[in-house]
Amino acid sequence: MPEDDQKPERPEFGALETIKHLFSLVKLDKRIYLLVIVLAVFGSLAAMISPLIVQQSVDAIVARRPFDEIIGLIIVLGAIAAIEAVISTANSYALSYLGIEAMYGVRNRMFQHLQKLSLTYFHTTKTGKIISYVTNDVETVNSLSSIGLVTVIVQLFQLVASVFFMLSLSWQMTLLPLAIMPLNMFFLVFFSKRSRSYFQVIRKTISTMTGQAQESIDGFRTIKSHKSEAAVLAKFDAATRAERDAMQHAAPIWAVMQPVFTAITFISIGGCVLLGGFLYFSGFIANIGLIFAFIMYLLTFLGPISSLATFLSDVQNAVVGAGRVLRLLGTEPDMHDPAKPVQLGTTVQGAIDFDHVHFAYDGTDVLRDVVLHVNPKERLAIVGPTGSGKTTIISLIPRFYDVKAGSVRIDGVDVRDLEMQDLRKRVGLVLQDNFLFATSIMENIKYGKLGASNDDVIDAAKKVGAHEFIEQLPRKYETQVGERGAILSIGQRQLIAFARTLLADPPVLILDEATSSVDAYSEILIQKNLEKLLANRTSIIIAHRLSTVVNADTIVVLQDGKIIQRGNHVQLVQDEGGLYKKLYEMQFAEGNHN
Amino acid sequence: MPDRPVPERKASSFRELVGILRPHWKRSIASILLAIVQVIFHIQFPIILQTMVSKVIAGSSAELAWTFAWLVCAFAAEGVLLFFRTAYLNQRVANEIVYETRNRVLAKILKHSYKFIDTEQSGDLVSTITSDVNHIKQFLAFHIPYFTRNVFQVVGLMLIMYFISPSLLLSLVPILPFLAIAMVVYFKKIHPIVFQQREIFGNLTSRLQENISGMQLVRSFANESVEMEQFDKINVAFSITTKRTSKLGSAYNPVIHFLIRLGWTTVLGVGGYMILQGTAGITMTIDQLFAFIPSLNLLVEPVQFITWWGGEIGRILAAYERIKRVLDLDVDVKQRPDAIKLPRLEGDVTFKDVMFEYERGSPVIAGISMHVPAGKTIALLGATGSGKSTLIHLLGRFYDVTSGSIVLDGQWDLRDVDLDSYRDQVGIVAQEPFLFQQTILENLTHGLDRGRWTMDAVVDACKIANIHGFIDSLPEKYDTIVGERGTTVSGGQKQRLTLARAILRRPRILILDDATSSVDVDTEYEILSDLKRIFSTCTTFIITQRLSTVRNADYIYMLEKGRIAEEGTHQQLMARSGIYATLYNTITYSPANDPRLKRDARG
Repeated sequence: MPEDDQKPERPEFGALETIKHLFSLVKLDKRIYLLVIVLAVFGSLAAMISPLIVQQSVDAIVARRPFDEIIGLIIVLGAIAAIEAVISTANSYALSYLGIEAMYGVRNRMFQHLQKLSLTYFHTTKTGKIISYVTNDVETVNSLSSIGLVTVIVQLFQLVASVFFMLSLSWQMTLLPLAIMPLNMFFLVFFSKRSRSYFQVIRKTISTMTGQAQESIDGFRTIKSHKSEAAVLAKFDAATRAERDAMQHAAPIWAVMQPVFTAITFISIGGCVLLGGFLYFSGFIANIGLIFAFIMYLLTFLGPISSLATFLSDVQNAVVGAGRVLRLLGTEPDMHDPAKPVQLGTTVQGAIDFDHVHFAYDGTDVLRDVVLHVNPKERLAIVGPTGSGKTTIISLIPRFYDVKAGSVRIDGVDVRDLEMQDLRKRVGLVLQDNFLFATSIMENIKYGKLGASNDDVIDAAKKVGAHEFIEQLPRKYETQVGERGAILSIGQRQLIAFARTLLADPPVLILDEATSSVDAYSEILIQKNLEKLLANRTSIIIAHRLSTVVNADTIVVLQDGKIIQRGNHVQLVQDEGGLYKKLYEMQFAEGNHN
Repeated sequence: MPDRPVPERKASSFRELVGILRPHWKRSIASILLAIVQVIFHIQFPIILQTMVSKVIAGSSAELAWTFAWLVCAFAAEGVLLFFRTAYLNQRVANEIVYETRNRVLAKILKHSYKFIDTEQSGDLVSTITSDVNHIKQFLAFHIPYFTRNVFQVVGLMLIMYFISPSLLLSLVPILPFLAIAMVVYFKKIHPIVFQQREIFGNLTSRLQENISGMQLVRSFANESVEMEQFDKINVAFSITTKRTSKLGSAYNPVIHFLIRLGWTTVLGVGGYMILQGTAGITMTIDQLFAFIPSLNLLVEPVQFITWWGGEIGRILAAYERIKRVLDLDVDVKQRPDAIKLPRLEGDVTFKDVMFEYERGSPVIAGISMHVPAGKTIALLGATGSGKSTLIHLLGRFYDVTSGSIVLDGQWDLRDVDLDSYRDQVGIVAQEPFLFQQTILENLTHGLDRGRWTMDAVVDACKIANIHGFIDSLPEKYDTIVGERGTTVSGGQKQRLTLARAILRRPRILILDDATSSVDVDTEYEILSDLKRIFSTCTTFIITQRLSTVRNADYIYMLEKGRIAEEGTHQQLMARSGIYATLYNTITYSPANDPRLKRDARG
């Protein structure tokens, strides 16, 4: 079981705190906000007038007054209904407008925040989770933020107004709904508490189920080639079964709310007629029309109660969801741009220094006291066994991580003193498996330099030797490459990544095993052009294939996070006992194994 | 993402959707019957109210109290029925269906060949299994039961209103056309917008997914601001369509409400007129009027629901069509009903004029014939996109050949054999290793029955793949969890783990699709020589970028544009001085002035 799922889904803030935090996030147009409140008050007032008119009409009918006397009342009644409809339309639209704007804003905020978090966050958090924060959990902003509060205030206003009018009609009759209210509240609190605990269980089963579905699809090829469909389906079945059972378990709790409230509503109406009847018999109330008006107020009284109930039970879920939104927004990026960044200027020489760099990941030392100097336009190669820390070294240059001690400098400036965007624009990176977007090849290459012309793109593709295969594709540069470049082979993706980086034309270029997945053919093409790619810039190369390495100005050999050898190829092969020599011999001797 | 046209609401898919209920017909029928009983209780309300008012007017207090008791009983009974129906019929049926559908969709997805996963967006598939199925649940658990109940309620109320006063009911007729117009207009307008909203939401999700998956790329090109712009564009589009739906929705409910209130007012006016003026034999009492108005009130909710549902149905059908699309897609690699269960294979493989095309007219494999005797190791070489991986996928039968055939042991056409019995004997190590979020042991034994492996065999396989030492150095050893959020393993370690996974199966045919690219040269060499020692009779296909590995193969095929350009042993090919020889020389001859390199190439 992944550790994360065992964490309780409880937000770290209480409900009130969460709502307060949300308030500070959601900046709304004050005028619309005010409009909503004004409209709501007018709407409620209009709703309060109709019962009085109904009362008069009914009394007129009961008293057998001439019809002419009530015709006016009825027209007014129709007019009020029309006004109410208009107000309610405007109000409901204004409310949802605010909600949509708020969600829009918070979504953008979250997305922006994601662009600031360090890569460590993405390595430790499941993609699906982040997506659901930004897509689903954001929805709760709607019900919890100020918009939710407006609804609550309006409902409370209506509640109080109804009680006022009921009291003014008959205080004795009003006692009945007031007596029922605590009963209502009790059910409300009781059920929302119960449903919350069920909801947490359900949430967990759903998240497990989603995780399994995701993994089964991501691992599609592996499953097929190990014909493990049955095992995977059995596991998924267990997950969906757990979800079903949890849902089923919670079903009675969810099902009980509505019947209780329906029964309470209708029985209290009947109760009021009963009570009103007795009051009428004993002369406490004079007219039957009053009973009628009272029932109408009763309905405007019960309406808010049931919607407040819904609101309160929604709040339970919403607080959980909003808590997650806030948690994401509250995740501090572990690296910040400096307050007063040093400007690199337009011409970067590309000198790189590692000054006694230490780096640890999860408490294990990955780099220990690394000292390196690369002159501008020089080529450095890093060699070493798997896990020796090669990739870590190069990740420190574009500042994907921060050193634990020591410093990394570019042109003599500590990378922590530079604006990250400024720094990264100067450092090109080609990895073993590069990410492509699900768009055209043209767009993918242009990603290196937005705004580049099509000719620039084709030029770059030609330089790295990608042009030929692209031309053979049915739609050439407009070919859609699919998710992560699925329709292309790794080698082809690599060539595109090269073209993309070449287009960016960075003064510092890092190749991390960039050619190890490229086939021998493409490798020749790349090798031929690699010189062009590397010329006139500082470059750092990690490669298994030593043939890529021999030309480097400096080669460092890394083992267990320490530099154990350095020098150029000629010097290093002369060091008889050295690791470099061993690796080198291994590589060229293997051709003779049989 | 291409714009998809708004699908026509198809009556057939609606019928099919409702048809999902068929296996649960007992509970469904019970639910309908209960709905009728429930409505019978519910619509007594106006009659009870009428009775109560008439008792008040008549001044009989005891009868008034009895009528109230009747009301309490009716609504208590309705509450119990409603509870039972929701909790034990509707919810249960819906939960069962969700459970079945989720499993069905995933099972269907896993039946497809690689072709399917090449063209699908994985995020899309996951959301079909999760959120689209949830929409179906909404439909089955809440909409259908609520709809049936509401239809009964409308019918019941109409009947009651007719019994109370046919002429009052008649006075409502002028309002009906407006009600109908409002419903139709809303229904027509909301559907395309809701569909569009869903599509945009899909775009929003994919955009987000890509941004997160490609985060390192975004960072290294410092393109954050462009990413934000792009996201903002979709986010704006989403809020615009959402506003459009909410504009319609905000107007719709008040309009329906208003029309009902208008009816209400009409009834009061007409009723008042009839009571006071009592023309031409049509007379009415006050309690009749008092009963009629609540009946009208009880109509509001059902009418609102039925029309709201009209808009919603588009959303649900769209979700259902997405599910159906996955369920109905033809599986292109099908097992024949009379498929042959393979015995233990020798491992002899013949490709006969194999052709394969993803799209008509652009063959990826354009006619390849080769014969690989059992136990041999062959290497496939060729430029990016020359068809090496496709050829190997055809051998794994992840696709079917377009024409030609692949024959095993000289007698079995791959398309005629039982897939399970075949894949049991084929070990494939893919280009991109995938580990499940499980322990290392679970990953290694993935898909193997408990009886088919022992811990010793696992350790042996890991030793061959040169990964045992690493596993042993982990604190939890074979119980260490790997995968997306597990212990971090490097690319090379991942490859060696997936290699061990294949070795554990003791395959007769082993396919290494560039499976050691991230492994050090020396380690790779050790692995391959161990493999050869232990599996001397296993036929091995290797795709690799390392010419030193290729050199050691028994036979080499050079592919070019889906055809065999050259073939032979290393010596034969070098003697031919063709593409292979040129390639070999260029790669191994380093531009460095290193005499050792030249000596090596000569020897």
